[in-house]
Amino acid sequence: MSYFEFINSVKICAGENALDNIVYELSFLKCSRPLILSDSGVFNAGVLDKVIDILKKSDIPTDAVFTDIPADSSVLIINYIAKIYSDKSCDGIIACGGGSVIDTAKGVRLVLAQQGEDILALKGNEIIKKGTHIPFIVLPTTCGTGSECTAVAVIKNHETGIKMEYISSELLPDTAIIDVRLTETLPKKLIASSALDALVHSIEAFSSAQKNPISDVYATTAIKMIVENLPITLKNPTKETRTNLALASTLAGIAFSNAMVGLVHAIGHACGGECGIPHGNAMAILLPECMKYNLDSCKNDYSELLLYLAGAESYANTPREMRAIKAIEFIENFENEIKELCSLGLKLSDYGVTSEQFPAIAQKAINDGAIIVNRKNAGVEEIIEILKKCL
Amino acid sequence: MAKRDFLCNIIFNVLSRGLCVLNKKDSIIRQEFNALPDNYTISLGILPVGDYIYLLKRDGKLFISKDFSDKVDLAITFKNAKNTRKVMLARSSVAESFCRHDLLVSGDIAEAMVLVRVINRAEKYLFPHFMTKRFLPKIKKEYSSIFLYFRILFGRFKYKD
Repeated sequence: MSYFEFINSVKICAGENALDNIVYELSFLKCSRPLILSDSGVFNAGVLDKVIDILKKSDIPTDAVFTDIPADSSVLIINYIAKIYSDKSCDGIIACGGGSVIDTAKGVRLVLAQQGEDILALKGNEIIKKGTHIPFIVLPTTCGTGSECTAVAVIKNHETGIKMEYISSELLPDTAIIDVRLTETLPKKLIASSALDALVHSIEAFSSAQKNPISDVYATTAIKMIVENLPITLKNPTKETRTNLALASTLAGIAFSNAMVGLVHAIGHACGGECGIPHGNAMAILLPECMKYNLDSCKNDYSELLLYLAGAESYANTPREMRAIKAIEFIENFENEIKELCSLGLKLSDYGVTSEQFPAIAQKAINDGAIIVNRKNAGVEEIIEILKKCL
Repeated sequence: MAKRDFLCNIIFNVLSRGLCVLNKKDSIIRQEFNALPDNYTISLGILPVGDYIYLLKRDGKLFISKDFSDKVDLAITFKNAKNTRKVMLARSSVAESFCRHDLLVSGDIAEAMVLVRVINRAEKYLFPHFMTKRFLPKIKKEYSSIFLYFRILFGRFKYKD
């Protein structure tokens, strides 16, 4: 077997009343004065109040709160919050929000743990050595990023406008709390796009060049949970289906943190940077066409995926040589079903993208770190062809 | 004090000299390096020694430079010599090496992708096609590999202030 590495040191507290255990988790981590990070959306939806209420009941100070984290976590905001942490004498971090909030918190923690002042000085892949321990609890409020269990953070450089990837096990939080109360205010469209983002995480992790037997287990479990729970959550949501989706996102996060993602993410990140398409929507649009492009290099993996997507009966009834194609067809039909349930745009043109923007998107995509683990080489021309099919 | 791996030292020198020549002779490699800012510095190395060789881009040209470890923009450091030889002797691709967590990147990952592409293209010049065809597609060479090796052996690449 080829060499691989796998890490997930995050304690996952999931299910009924999980959020109430935050008090114990803070004391376990020896944190008595946390810095609470969130964004205005989570704050205005009243989600943060649920967390603060629980903390207040246990006399944990809640005056160190920062809720102005922008949609893209940036170098400036991270360095600024790191200073607030020191000024307010905090001894731990709670991040309550989606990908941007969690990635910002990861950046803040990294700066503090490395006793630095600027996150820019720490950019790279696996170069960061163990630093001071800063207690770090994450409360994800979407069901897509999986950032609560990933060793990756995407941070925007305000000077160049480029989103930089940080990859280090030092980015992993101590604890992730998955509680349905944190996602119950999510609108249908956001549930759909974030769950499809998690589906892409799982599929790309399962078919990447960095996949390994352990990441496969997480990826396939996540795929099964998303396919089973997403349509029901959009039609008749229950606490159980919402929790399952949030958990699937976490599992997908663990999978891709260790196996990485591929071409869909490379192009998707570029679409976000160049045209402002929301990440989850870009993922949903690009997935089928990227799978078709990768088909000859990933045929065995896609064939196996059919089992987790369509179930054992459908898998057994499909001839071996047709399974990979059937898996892609299943994805297309599944996305169309989701589109019908919540009017999700599945074309680039739905987000105002024009073909004139393709060369710039393709140029950005080939410099994205995700492209290196894609099984099949893709250059500017190949990416433009994929984009044309998604227009 | 840790010793340098003799073979890797030679390989890094051949690769770096090859990149300096190809930056002049191959339009695609030149275009890739042009995307990096002037005075951009790259180091290649292996643990536990650290940096083996430094490259400097100045005025559109590429040079092998003296030690400037305190201001490297992009450092690629392999974790061990055994896996470095696998990559540098075309028994494995840089991408496969990345997937195996063989190498550490200090600097911007987007800029590291530029270096990955130029190393891939340089390997197509430095090795015969049958050695690289498993992981790299055939390319249309713009310069003779024989001439490239001649220049690697007899060219001057050191940067002088």
